[in-house]
Amino acid sequence: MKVLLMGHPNVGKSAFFNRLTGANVIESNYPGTTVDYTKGYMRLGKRDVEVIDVPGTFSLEPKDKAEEVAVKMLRENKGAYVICVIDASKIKRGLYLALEIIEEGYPVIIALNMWDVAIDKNVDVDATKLGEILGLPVVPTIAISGEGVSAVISRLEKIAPVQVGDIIKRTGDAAVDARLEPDERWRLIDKISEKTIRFGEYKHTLKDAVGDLTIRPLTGIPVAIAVLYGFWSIFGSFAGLCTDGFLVKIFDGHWLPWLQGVFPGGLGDWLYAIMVDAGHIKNGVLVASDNCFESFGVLTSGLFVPIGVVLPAIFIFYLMLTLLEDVGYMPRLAVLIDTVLHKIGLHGYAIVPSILALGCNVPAVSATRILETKKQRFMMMTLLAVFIPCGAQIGIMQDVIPNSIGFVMLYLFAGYFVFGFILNKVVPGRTPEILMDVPAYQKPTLYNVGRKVWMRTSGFLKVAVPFVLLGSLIVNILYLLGTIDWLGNVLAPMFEGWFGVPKETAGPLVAAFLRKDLAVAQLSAIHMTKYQMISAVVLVSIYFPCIATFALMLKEGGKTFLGSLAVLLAAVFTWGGLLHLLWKLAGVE
Amino acid sequence: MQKSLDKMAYEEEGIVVSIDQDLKQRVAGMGIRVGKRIKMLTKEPLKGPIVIMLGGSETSLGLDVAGKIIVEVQG
Repeated sequence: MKVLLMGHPNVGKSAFFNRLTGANVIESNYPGTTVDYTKGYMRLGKRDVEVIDVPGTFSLEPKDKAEEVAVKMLRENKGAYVICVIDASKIKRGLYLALEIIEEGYPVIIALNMWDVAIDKNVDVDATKLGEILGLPVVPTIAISGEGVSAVISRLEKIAPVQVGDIIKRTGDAAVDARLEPDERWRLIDKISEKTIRFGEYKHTLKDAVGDLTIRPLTGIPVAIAVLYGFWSIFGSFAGLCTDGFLVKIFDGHWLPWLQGVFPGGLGDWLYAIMVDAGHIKNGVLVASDNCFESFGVLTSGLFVPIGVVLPAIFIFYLMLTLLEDVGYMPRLAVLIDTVLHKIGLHGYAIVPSILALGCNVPAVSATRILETKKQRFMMMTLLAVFIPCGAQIGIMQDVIPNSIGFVMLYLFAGYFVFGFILNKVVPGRTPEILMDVPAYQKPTLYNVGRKVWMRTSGFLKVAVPFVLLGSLIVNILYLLGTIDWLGNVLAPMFEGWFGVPKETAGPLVAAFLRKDLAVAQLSAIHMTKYQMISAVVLVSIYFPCIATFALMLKEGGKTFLGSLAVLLAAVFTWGGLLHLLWKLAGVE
Repeated sequence: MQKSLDKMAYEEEGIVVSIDQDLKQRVAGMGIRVGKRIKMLTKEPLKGPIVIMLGGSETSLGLDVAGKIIVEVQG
């Protein structure tokens, strides 16, 4: 026996899932968080039963890939028990989905979730009577606080499929046998609603007023600019404060000298060079490094980069993103920005993967599923992998090139739009317009925000730390074997002639395939001009995505991955070369 | 007077009288259907999407999609 949890996006389905299973699932106030399904187990009687959190869908007529996944999962699990989670304040359209599932012959129990919101909005539902007419249990719940969840569990085992014809008869009409058309389904819902739901005067709350102000262009656009600017400046100052004010002192002042003292071998020894400090040549003499950026060791740079620099950046990024998500700002931002993004064939919702990518490209690639067509998903995946630097990389850039980071970001964003514009013209396929629900603002709960930030940050640590350690190990070995120098010499004409960067950039570019943050940190140790540095950082950004993103793009994109690769190569050569040309024209090289 | 949804003025209200057949299925789940009262909440500039209010929920639609929905407005 399996239990499927289904409902519209943003009705508290994942919160409900957590209550059922005790698992940790990220829930957000916009569709697309559960783009893949999540599995867990709940206790039912004496058994452990599999529960699946299905991505949110408005109907069984899917309109994007995430909804397609939802419908496919329902069809693949014939005979599963379905808990249909409905936003009680918007009960009628929730019943639409519930009826569709009932018509498919599944045993259904309805959880009228967000019951407290419905009361606030003067929506009065007679749950008992609704249950009688539908012939199945209808339970008011507030998943966020857990109310009503145990009542759902206790009634779950006894549910059975219902004939839609019987429901129609109970409303007093003559039953039709065939499957219902959308209009017939709505007529039935209106009938049921007359008998069971009373809609009081709709109260226009403060939340609604703020909601209006932030979506109307005259007030909404300035607010959006302020929000994004605030995001950026808090990100920069918090990360800077933690790293420079605190962590650098620990790593450079205590950790590095301590290791240099106790690690066996010493300067010049191969193992010491790999693990602690390769040193550098100064006036013909090999001298020890005095900071963790230049030492390159697995235990020095390899730990300093992810923990000393990137961790604070990732933490503050996810904290702010989670707040924006949980308040419900993202869909409004999507509507405001749709005008611009639609011009390059995407739509407003592309802002979700785009912003997620600023944290980490990996979840962003999954989030492309909220886009409707193959063309849009291909474009989005390619653009974000090529042009959006991840939080780890931005964190390092803040530290290594604090004065030019703004330029690098703008140059990359310009590439995003230029290549988006071109791709939209040359890639075949449809680019449908935006069609989406804009959920009301919500008060974020400390519990949810805390847990989400924790899960995302610890998820980062689990992936990043081993990869950075592995990355520095591999690059150090390649250095010792002379492979990097060889590569640099072979590719020197291209590096120096076309991109205008020193041939030593070869090393960081190898590292970039494993971790972008590590690559930028390694760049900082190479001697070059400010403009060469900008070019090199841009190259690291747009050149191959890190291996984790790479793998997921292959999985999600399938054959279109080759297309992404072609675009990527074109982008590296044109966008990277163009920067060199710009410097030449400006006379700074 | 009847007009398509994208032609409605700010704050104007109307009742849906018809929806293009190919769109009907897609919007039915979101609660957009014939006979439903709709209020235009806002229009984004430069041919951006519109935002409508229906039954307490807000929905955003691109102009071409909105053009396929016809509403009856007062006056």
